[in-house]
Parts: sequence; C-alpha cells; structure tokens
Amino acid sequence: MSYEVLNSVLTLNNVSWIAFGVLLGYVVGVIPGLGKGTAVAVSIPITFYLSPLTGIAYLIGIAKGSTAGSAVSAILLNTPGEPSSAPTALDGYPLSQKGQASKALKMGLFASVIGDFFATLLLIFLAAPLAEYALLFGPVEVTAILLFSLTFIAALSGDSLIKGLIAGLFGLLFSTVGMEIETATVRFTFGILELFDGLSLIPVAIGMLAVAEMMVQLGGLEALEHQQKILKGNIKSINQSISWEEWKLCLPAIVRGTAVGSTVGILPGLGASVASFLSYGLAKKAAKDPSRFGKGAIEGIAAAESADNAVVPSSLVPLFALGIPGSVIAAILIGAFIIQGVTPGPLMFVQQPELVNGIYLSMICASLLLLLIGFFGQKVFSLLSLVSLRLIIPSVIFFCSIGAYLQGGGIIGVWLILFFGIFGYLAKKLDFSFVTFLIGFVVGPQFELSLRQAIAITPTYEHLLKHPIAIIFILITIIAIWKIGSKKSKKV
Amino acid sequence: MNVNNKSDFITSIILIFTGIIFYFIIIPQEIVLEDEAIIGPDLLPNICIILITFLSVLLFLKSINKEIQNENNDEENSTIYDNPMMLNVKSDFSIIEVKRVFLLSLSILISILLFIYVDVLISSIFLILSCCVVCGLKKIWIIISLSAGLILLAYFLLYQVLGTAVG
Repeated sequence: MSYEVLNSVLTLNNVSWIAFGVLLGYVVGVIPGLGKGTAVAVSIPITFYLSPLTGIAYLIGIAKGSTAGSAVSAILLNTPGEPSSAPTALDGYPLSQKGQASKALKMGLFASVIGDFFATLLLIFLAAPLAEYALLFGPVEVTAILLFSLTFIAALSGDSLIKGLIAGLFGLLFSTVGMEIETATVRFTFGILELFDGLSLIPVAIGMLAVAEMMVQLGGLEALEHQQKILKGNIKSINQSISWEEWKLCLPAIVRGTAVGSTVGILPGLGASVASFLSYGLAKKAAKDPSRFGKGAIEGIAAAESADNAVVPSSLVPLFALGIPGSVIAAILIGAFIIQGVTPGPLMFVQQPELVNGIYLSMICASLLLLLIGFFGQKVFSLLSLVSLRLIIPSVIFFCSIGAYLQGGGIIGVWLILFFGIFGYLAKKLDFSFVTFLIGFVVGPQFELSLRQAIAITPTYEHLLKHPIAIIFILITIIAIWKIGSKKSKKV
Repeated sequence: MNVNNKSDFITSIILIFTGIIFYFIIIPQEIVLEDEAIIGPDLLPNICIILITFLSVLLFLKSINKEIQNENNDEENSTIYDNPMMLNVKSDFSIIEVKRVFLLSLSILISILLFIYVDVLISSIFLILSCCVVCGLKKIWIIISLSAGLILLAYFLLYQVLGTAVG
C-alpha cells in the first residue's frame, strides 16, 4: 500500500465521514425495524457530494456499524434489529434478564469487531487474485456466471425456489425500462419522458428496502412498544467486565464464527442470517454442556455476532472480483459506485488500484472505529433502543422522499419510491425475495448486454463447447436448481 | 384452505394474468420494433415474462396440491380440532396494518400532488404530519417539534451543507 493511499485515507475529512457512517449505522442498527439496507439506501444521495473513496467508505461504515448495532436491541429487547441477530437474542436476552446486559453487549461488540476485521483481511487477500481470473472471462462466461448467481440467490433467499425465481425475473424485467442502448428502442416508458433513462437504482432501492420496511413495521408497533416498556425498568445495568474464563469459552466460537461468516458471505445469496444461525448451531454442538444454550450462554452471542459481522466484508468479494453483487448491501453499493463514475469489477483493480487500496484501508479504519464508538457509546446506544418507531417512521419516510427526489431525477423519484414501497411491502408479506429482485434489477443491464453478445458469439450449441467455464456454470446452475428445489419441496 | 396457500393461489392467478397481459398487450405496444434485428430489444422482456408466467403456473399447481394435502390432513385431524376457532389460521395481513399502509401510501401520494401543484414546504409539512397521524402520535407538541425539527434538519443539510436547492 503506497504512501499516497495512506495519505488519502487518513485525512480528517475521510476519517470523520467513516466515523459518522459507523455511528449512524450503529444508531440505525440499535433501533428495531431499521436495517443496514435501509440506512445505506437512504444515505446514498449524500455520497454524491463526497469523493469516491470517502463516499464508499462512508457507506461501508454504515453497513458495518448497523450490523454490530443490531445486537443491542436483540440483547436488550429480545427484538433483533435485523433477522441475522436473531440467534444473538437467544442467549443475549436471558443474560440481560439476569442483569448481565452490559457483559452481553460487550461480548457482542468484541465478537462483531473481530469477525469484521478478519473478514476484511480475507477480502483484501482474496479479491485481487480472483479478479485476475475474472479478466479472462468473455460475454458467454459472464452470462453463465450471472445466470448462476441469480438462480443461486433466488434458490437460497426465501422459502420457495419458484417465488425467488419470479422475484429475480421481475428485477430483470424492471431493469429493461428505458432506452435500449444498441437499437435506441424505448421500452416500458408509457410516454413518460423521465423514464427514458431507465429506472434509477436509488429510488428503487429506497422504495424496496426503506419504505417497504416502514410499511411492514406499521403492523408491529404495539408489540415492539410492549417490549420497550419491559426494558425501561431494567435499563440501569452495572458496568461488567468479561472474565478470562469467559474469553476462553468465547474465543473458539469467535474463530469458528468468523470462518463460517466469511465463507457464507463469499457465496452469493446465503446472507448473514444463514451465517449467524449456522455459527450458533456449531457453537452449541461444540459446547461441553449444550443445555446452557438458550439460557444465557455468552459464547452463543460470540458465535452469532462474529459470523454476522464477517458476512459484510466477505460479501464484497464477488462484487470487487467479478462485479456481481452477492448481497443487498453489495447491490446498493453498485449504485454508489456508479454515482462516482466507478464500475465495480475486475477492471477496477487495473484502472483504479489506489481507490481499491483506499477502500481496503478505510474498511480496516472502520473496524477500529466500530470498536471505539461501540465501546464508549454503549450506554447511550442502549437508551436509543427505547426510541419509539412512531417517531422513526415519519422521519425515515421524509428523508426517503428527499433522497429519492435528489437521486431519482426529481419528483418521478418520489413516485417510484411509492410504487416500489407498495411492491416491496407485498413482496415481503408474500415471501417473494426482495433481495433477488434487487440483485436482478442491478445486474439486469449487464446481463442483457452479455446475453446479446453471447448469442452473437455462439449462434449454435457447437460454439458453446469452446467455453468450458460457461458450461460448468450452466451445469452447476441446473444442479443447484434441481437439488435445492427438490429439498425445499420436501421441506414444505 | 391454508392462508399461505390461499395467498400463493391468488398471487399465482394475478401473476398469470399479468404475464398474459404483458406478453400480448404491453410488450407489443411498449416495445416498437423498428427493423428486423436478429436479437431484438424485446428479447429479455419476453424471456422474463414467459418464465414468470410459467413459474406462476407452477406456483398455482403447487398451491392446489398443498390445498388438497391440507384438506386431507384436516379431515384426519377433525376429531382433534373440532373447534372451528382452532382451525382459523391468522392472516398475514392484519386489518390495522393494511389500513395503516393504505393511509401511509395515500399520504405520500397527496404530498407528491401538493409538491407538484402547491409548494414544496406545504408538501413536506403535510407528509410529516400525516405520517405522524398514521403512526398514532397523539401529543401535539411532539408532532409539531418533530415536523419543525425534520424540516430544519433537511434545510440545514441541503441548503447549508450540501448546497442543493429543492423546489
């Protein structure tokens, strides 16, 4: 890493924005109902005013902070800020009821930071070599890989393979709105001039993630307030430190959790929830006395949080190396990269190595800031979990509208958040994966372009035989659909 | 019929109709092919719609199969669960939730119209106030201070910090 990179990252401006991102993410994570997707989507318009490095680092800071912060409401309220923190609540909440909330929160934070830090190192060491291979891929291979990623994500996110695939196809369909580049044909604009440039990712993401989530939360206001009332009486906890004996119990769980989270994060579509539940299950299996789990075992928190936080950096591996988003955060980050005039993918390592190194260093910086902010702000953040959603929802809707207006091409952006808010709400309620939809929407233009090129290059099946990598990915896609589909229908 | 299957059943029918309408009406109307290109601009939309319709048919068949299975199970279990209340599966969409979602959507819609035809400030105030009412906030001083605080924050952030003009 060159001196110039260090100089560009360790400026007061850059570090302040990363710290602000981590702080904002942590606050959002603590408040039940607000997730990292919401926070990152709403914050994207601000990055327009920042340099590429600062903007991306700020968003990654939000994602990291939010993932760690969601443990606070899981431990104190038994209401995970995000689904991936649900296993944290299994042992965190019983510990909190025993009056050991401070200890549980500290272990949650330390495990989060360790998991996040080592997964960031993995991203640094893995993305560049993978990107070198990716540069050898042509349109046929890219089409096959995108097809594989989309079907894999569709198959794994949600309970139904069919619904996942439908959601992904809708994402692809919506990505075709606007002027088609090659033939200059206008598609699905219904005479609306503002749609000629296509649907902007920002209002679509804000609608699908933030507005839809607020609509879902409207139904659970009373249940959450009941939990908050219970917590109000127990908030005054004593400052407790973690003993060496407890560290000895937790360290293997953290190492295992980091490994699980990093592996799951690299695979597109599996997501943080799978990682945290898997890690929690493994920790329980490895424990001398598994019956302690679910009743306040501190290593349960360590296992879940380390895996949950390791997913964020490692899910950026496919984005950086192949240009394919493997998670919602990665999909939204593509929007931020595009705003900054950067195309994520293997060419980024060749064309903008300083930016890539700067992002890496900023991510390490964010991990350290996460530790400091989380540690010193623990008491204040605990109080934040008591903030009523009745105050949060109007604020989020208001800032969503502003963000959509600024980055969505004017008032059409607000129309879009309304449409995609309702669309996302229905998708969430009916179990159509919004993750697959968004990823389909993001990769849509690239998929269409490479599909056209692939058809032109390989007019017959014989031509396809010259592309063994593509054949392998097509076969894996078919096998994955077959295996996962039959497994899911058996489960049903 | 199980509620989840019921929703799958209704959704699949809506999706099948959507697919048919898109394939026969919307795509031919909205994608006008200028010349006979080998790979036309309607390739991907057509692929998507055909697959969506096909998958919706599968979802429809699956929901019917599940329904038959559930009816069989219900018959087997009827001696145990003979109380109709116990078989009443709670809907995923509660009335209060749907009502709130509708009102929130209506608030955004009206604020857009106010933005277009009246003024940005009035539109912003209306959006925040109506959202507060939908969320069940009752204390006037909280509603007023939240509205004022948010508008001042937006003004400070947009005009003073970022230098953007809205309106």
